Amino acid sequence: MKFCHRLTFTLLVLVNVPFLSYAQDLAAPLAQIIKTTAQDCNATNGMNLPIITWGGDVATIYGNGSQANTSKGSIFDKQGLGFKLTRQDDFAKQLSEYLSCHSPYLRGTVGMISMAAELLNKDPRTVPKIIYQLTWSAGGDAMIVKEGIRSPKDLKGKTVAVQAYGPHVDYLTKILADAGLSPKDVKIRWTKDITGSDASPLSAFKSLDVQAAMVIMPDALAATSGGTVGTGAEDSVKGASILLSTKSANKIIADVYAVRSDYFNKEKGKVEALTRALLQSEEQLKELFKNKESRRSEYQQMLAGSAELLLDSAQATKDVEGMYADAEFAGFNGNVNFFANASFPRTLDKVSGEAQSAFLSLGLLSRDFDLSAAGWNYEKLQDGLSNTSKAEVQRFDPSEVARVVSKKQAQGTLDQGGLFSFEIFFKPNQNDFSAELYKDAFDKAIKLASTYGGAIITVEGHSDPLGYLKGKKQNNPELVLKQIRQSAKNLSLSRANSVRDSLLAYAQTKGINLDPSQLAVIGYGIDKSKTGMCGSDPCAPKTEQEWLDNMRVEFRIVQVEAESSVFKPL
Amino acid sequence: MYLSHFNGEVMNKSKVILSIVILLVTFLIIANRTQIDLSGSRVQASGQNIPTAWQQEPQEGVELEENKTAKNYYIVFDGSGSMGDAGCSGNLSKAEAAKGALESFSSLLPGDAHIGLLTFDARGIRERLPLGLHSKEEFMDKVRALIPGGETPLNTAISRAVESLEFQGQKQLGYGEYTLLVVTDGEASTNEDPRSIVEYILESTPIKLQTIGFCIGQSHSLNQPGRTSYQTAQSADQLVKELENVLAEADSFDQSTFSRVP
Repeated sequence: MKFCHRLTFTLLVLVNVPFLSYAQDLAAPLAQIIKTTAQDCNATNGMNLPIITWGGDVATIYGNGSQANTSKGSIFDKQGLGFKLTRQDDFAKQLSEYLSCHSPYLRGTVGMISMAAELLNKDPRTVPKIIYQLTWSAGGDAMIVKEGIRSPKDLKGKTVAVQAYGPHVDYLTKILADAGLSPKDVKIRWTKDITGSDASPLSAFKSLDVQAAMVIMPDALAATSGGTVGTGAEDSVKGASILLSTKSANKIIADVYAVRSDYFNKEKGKVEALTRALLQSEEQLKELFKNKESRRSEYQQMLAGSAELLLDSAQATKDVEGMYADAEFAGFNGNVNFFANASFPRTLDKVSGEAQSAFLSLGLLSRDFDLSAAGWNYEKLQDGLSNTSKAEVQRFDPSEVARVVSKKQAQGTLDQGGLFSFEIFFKPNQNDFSAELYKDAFDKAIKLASTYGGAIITVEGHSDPLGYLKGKKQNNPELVLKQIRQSAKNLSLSRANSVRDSLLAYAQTKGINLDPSQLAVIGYGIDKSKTGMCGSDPCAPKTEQEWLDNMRVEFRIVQVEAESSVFKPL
Repeated sequence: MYLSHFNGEVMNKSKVILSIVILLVTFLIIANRTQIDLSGSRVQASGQNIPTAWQQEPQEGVELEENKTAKNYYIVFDGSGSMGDAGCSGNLSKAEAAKGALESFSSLLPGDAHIGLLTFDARGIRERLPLGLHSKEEFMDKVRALIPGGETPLNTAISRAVESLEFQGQKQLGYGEYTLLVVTDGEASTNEDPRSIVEYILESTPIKLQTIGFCIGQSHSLNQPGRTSYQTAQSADQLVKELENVLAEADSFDQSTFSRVP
């Protein structure tokens, strides 16, 4: 992000829940806090459409004609829509306006809407229908940590600051879950604001008793002296670093539009028209960004319009460009996957289900609720779109990935970037790594690969050192021992490749196209024995179980956000 | 000026400076004797560079190999003047016997192996084939073109071969197999004793060092039983076959093997 983060985002107060004074260790359910009662919608309510300060909303504004009121000839106008866009970053206020039907629409993340599900389900009129996914957060949000926390499982017993009812709550709980922790394994310090005040997670992070915080990226960069390690100067915190951001965890925070059930049932045509318009806006905005040089005037007008509506200054165009880059637009295929593809690992049901399970544990909900989708006919919604092909894009440069992984391996730092890891085991001389044998592990790998699509997954093969150690004990010639060692290294690489190939094939059978460039193979040979190293040789296994434990392939999810060379240009 | 205490005494500035100078001079003397190139590589007493230690981490600009477990064979063919004579080579000259041995050796190499060839002969020292995929015919054409004559820069030749194999090792991220075959009668020119580079290969790289030799005794660094492979020209094919059946892993666990290991 190249824009002036601190100045811009101190203009924002994304959520202002009055009851939460500074920071506290408990948050009450929204159903107990928001007192607004549900009211009927009238004919004019459907004209108000909330937007929030996020890159995904740039497309909405563009579709409206780059201004607050729908302009003639704009994408929205051509769909017969007439909106007044209103920025409402205060989610509590949005909820009140939704319940009173000042607007029948709700703009938030799946996590935030899930947190409000109990409130919204109090009255059948206000049960939300999720109609459209704008984006996944892909770099705009981060977890920062203090020294000593190297992976998410190190958070156990620590205190983590997060804004109450905001977009980071389920981000935090998802990371914990993938590390094998529950929300109860950490102490949560709830804050009122997301940024720009003494009641924000960044501010709480400066306390000695807070070891981690969920923040927006500008605050993450400030705390860590520009994304490295905080020096303690200016706004940074000494020793602080970014553990991971949504650049790695790029399928957790889903930004969506929801609509009241009563309005949906009465004005389904208008809601569908809005969805169609949003899809077209996203596609056409992408084209505009691609051709910004040849369409300079239109591009500048688009930026200025979004800057005015989102940042209160038409000059803040660089900031708009930065915000756009932090979001990964779902587009047509993303919406189909999110709402209508049961085999997609990150559907609305899955994301909401995970979030609500965590919220139950935190006492933010008393039971779980189905967040239902609109059930669109996506074939019909393709009309007016020119690019609905499902061609998969490779996110990473395989050569650069191999190079970076190799470098980290040589430096012994691969473990340090590791977020999550797990192992599968094999028998002596086993060459079959089919899904029949490893279904559970492969399912886990697919889920992690899908959720952390911006991280590398290393598939690390190991060999049994017993043959080498026996040979050494029997005084085999140096030449033979050298051959055994190198052969073991090659064999472990072949094993890792077999596992990788099996995993990709298995994912295909489930209708999931994993990105092959995300998977990097390593063969450690006998150099990383579970029995430890005795000098330059592995220590001998003392039991048969120790011997068997060495025969393994490890999956490791590795954060590589600092290694810009591995990412292919978009 | 007060600087520090040492055994209760105050050291004055001049004594401190003198100590530093003495340490620096001592370092420079030691460095010169061991010929440490302060830029990082190790330089042999003869003044020739030995490549830096085998690294897995590929350097900038190195294009990675698709087949990371490829087998690599780099042949150094001694075509010096002495190889034009007969000696431990039956009725043929050593060079002609060597050519036959290489034909036998190369016929057994896997079809997808990388082959490289460096010769030194009457035409000088030169890489005739860069390490890569070549047909056996192409390889043998270069071998047959050798004209015995000239000096025996054995150390230089082997060093260049090692550089080539190490570069390939970077492209393969350290996986695969690496064989350096030296065909020679071992009579190196002055200052071309390959002892240091041989030690480096054996101690610091996964390169298998093989020799097709003519009357090379076990005092020669290229003929160290258990550490290098040595065959005569008549048995050159054995070099390819040896180590074929070496297994990477044990197929069963036998606790008694380690009952006395601390």
